[in-house]
Amino acid sequence: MILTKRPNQDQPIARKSLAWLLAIQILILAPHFVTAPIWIAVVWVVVAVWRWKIFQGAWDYPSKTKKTLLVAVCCGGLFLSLGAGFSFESMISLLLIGFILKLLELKNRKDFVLLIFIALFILAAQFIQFNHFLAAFYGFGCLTLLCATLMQLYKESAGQSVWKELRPSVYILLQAIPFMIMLFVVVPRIGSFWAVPSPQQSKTGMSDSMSPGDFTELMESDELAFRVSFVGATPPREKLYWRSLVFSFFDGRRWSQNREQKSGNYFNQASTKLQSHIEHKGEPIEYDLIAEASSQPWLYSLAAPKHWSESLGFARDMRLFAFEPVNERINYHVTASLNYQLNEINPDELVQNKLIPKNGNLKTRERAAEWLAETGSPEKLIEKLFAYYNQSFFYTLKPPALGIDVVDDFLWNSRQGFCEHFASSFVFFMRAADIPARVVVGYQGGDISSVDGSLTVRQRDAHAWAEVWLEGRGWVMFDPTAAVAPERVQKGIEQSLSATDRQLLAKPFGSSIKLLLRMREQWDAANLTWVRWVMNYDSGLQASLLERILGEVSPLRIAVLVVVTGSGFGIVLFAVLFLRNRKRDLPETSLIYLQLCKQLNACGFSPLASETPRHFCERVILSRPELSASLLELMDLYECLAYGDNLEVAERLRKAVNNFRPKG
Amino acid sequence: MSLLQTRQNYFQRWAAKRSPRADQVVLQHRTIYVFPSKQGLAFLFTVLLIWILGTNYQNNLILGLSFFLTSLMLVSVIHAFKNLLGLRFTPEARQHAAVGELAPFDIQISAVYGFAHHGLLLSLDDEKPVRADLIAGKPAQVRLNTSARHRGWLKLPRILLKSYFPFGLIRAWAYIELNHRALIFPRPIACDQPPLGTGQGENGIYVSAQRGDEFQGFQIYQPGSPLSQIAWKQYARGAGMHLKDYRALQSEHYWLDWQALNVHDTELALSNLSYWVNHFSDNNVEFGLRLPNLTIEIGAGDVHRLNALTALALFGWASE
Repeated sequence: MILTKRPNQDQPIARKSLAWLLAIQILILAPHFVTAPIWIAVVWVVVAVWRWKIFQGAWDYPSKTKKTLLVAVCCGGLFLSLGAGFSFESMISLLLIGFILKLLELKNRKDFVLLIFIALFILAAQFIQFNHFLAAFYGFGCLTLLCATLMQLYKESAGQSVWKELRPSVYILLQAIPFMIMLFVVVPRIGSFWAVPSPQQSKTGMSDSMSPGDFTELMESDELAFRVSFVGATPPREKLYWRSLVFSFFDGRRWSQNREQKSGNYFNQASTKLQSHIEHKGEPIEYDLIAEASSQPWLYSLAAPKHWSESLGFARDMRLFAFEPVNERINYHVTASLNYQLNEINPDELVQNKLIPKNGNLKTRERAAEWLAETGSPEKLIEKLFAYYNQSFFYTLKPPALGIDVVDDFLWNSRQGFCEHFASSFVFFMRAADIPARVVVGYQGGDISSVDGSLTVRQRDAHAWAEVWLEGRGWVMFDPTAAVAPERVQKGIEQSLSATDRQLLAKPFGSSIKLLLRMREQWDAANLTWVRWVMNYDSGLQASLLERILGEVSPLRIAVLVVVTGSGFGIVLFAVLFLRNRKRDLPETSLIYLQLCKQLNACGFSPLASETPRHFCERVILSRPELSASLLELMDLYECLAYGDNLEVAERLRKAVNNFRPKG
Repeated sequence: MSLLQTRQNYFQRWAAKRSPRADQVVLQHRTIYVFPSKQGLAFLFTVLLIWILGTNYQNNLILGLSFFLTSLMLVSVIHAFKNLLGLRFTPEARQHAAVGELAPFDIQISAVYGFAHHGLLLSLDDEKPVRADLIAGKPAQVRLNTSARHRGWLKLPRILLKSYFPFGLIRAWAYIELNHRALIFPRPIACDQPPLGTGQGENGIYVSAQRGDEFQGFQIYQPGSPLSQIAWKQYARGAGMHLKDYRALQSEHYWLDWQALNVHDTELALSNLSYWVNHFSDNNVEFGLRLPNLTIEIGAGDVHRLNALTALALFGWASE
């Protein structure tokens, strides 16, 4: 009807519809202003006022020149604020501008419906940024409003309250949920059709290098890094060292990957060779990990991984990575053994992991040589160094600034710092003593949920530790921080800090109150469920779920499932709709009277078709005189409501009928 | 195009078989058709775009929205169907019109199952649809118009009932063939002289049967007569209660006579006669009508006019 060209369809927009549409625009546009330039909101206000004035007849629709000018200004504004590139922001902003300016062309129902369809698309686009389950609820709310607005075109207005307008749409939307779930489960997931620009967000996260002070920013962030659910029991937290990157190159201040580590070769033959040299001991542990978007390719894994999802790569420094930067949340499954031996190194690596800059940090070099001579073996040297750390170092997030010789200054002078300082100085010291060593960065520990045993790792759990090549034992992990502050790895960073330091740390909301903590855990658990089962439902999960339902996945069985459940839902829904008590549509007075009849029916009275309510009550009074007073009062109220239309009376009457007990 | 038309015709014949003409029509599942509207197709296109967006971004929430919208459309099919289910159509009082005017048909719509029905659009032929809403099980009256082209009985053409409830995505429709008719009078066409037959009011003054202001005499009082007509003077003289009888004086009355028309065209003759019937009636002139098969005695007033026009409309329709 809407799209035909008949003149009679050229219906103008009602005041209420316009008001609803404007309200919807606010709600649908709001989440987009996270990325879109904020001046678009100003454009919206101008256009909305303009449209309202048109509605009131005060202003006119813009002429062609004005429209062109407006579009040109907006596009110019977009160009100025976002640049010319084909970025996610500019695409979305362009869509928003179109959505807003279309208001000025809103003349008839056809335009109105078009606007609502555009609104649907914009509603969908907001989920690119927000995919929390709260976003889903928000989306449902917006969708309800959209449907209610659309329905106003086809339904006589029910009138008084917003809820009465919304109710029919809410019901229909709720009825649509079973079909939606079925489609969600069954419709095949296919890969992207073409590469799409993703929202550019500055993410806090591990960077590709480490210099003093880098980690403070991470520790101040409560942002989620990843979540883990273990298949078996959750290992103790002091064993949870999540490797992200390994740094073998030091320039005197900054640790980073060396050229070898960055090269592609490092990931291919060399890493497969390494894989065969890992000796796995003890019980393997299995876990599912859901990594948040980090815009970086490196991932998180426990040493040493044994099997992992096919989509991941394995690097020679024993870490897992993605082949593309992780721009969307991904999940993967890993089997690992915490107990392992890594006995493979090539001569180049031996040399590279002993390299230190030619100049600087002289004192450390001297001491390293001295101590090695003193102790005689690398193991003993490490012991001595750890003892030194333990005796005279202080773990703090707010260390004093270090001088030019970073390591010297830290080791022999300030002696205050946190993981990155300890790891950095430790590795430097080892290398100065001609022992191969390297820095490993990643996360340590995490919050173990008491609800479902899952692990939540946040940016503040960032950590740095070390690996030393010991002849005969291979690469062995050492955590110098644990030597200074063992609580750091056992109980988490919060417990290991002094009260003043703790203030620096990003704090989960309400962490000081037990109840709130508990609620937060529940919340996180719900979130994890959402992410695991909804956001990460992919073709793999789909295949296993369908296999569980159908026994065997074949197109025929899927078709049968769809047809049977689909028509089942349809029939049930139709039956419910058809048989549903139709009293809902009756006026209030009738509803109250029906309730009264029901109560009287319980004592054996039922109204005759020819009787008015009063006649009926009088007949009841004849046989039950004791009800006389209350029934007559009820009838007075009833008539007052039926013929007087007084809302206050309705309330009183309803109460009176509720309190009326003819039986007892 | 022709293929489409043939298919359409085939559907129309098939649909006509399913909904035969009846005195009362109740819509049941056999006679309700549902199909996505044009707007619904546009909606599906939007859903497809959203699905592509979701697939490209591998975002399950967006995919979920596209599935939600799809299932919303599926559910609307049920609601669209239910919106027409159990509608009862009954003809109301018969109306009339002249050829060239719009013939009105009054129809009552009621809900058999008592649910509400929204946004019902009824149309005849290609006329503008009339909207009806049945809220809270209350019946609704609608008047449908179609152009009257021929004199005589006009059968109510097939009614097309459409509804786009709930969201305009699904078009539910039904054809209603109702035994209902309107009477179509001949189109009034003026001619110079009224076709007058013999027996016109003789030159003298004719006393009309209607009340006027010429005193004619006294009548016996009858209870309930207006007080103003009572002859108080006579009553005071003790002559009892009498009524003063005033009559209008009609200087002329006319016989409209078929024979006087020297026209070979029957329709034109009837048109001329109906022009004069209207003319006399409008001017409150008394007239009678002589047709070959029927005579209507001298008279005036709306009922008289209606009788005369009915006779003209049904001239030659005697068989029905």
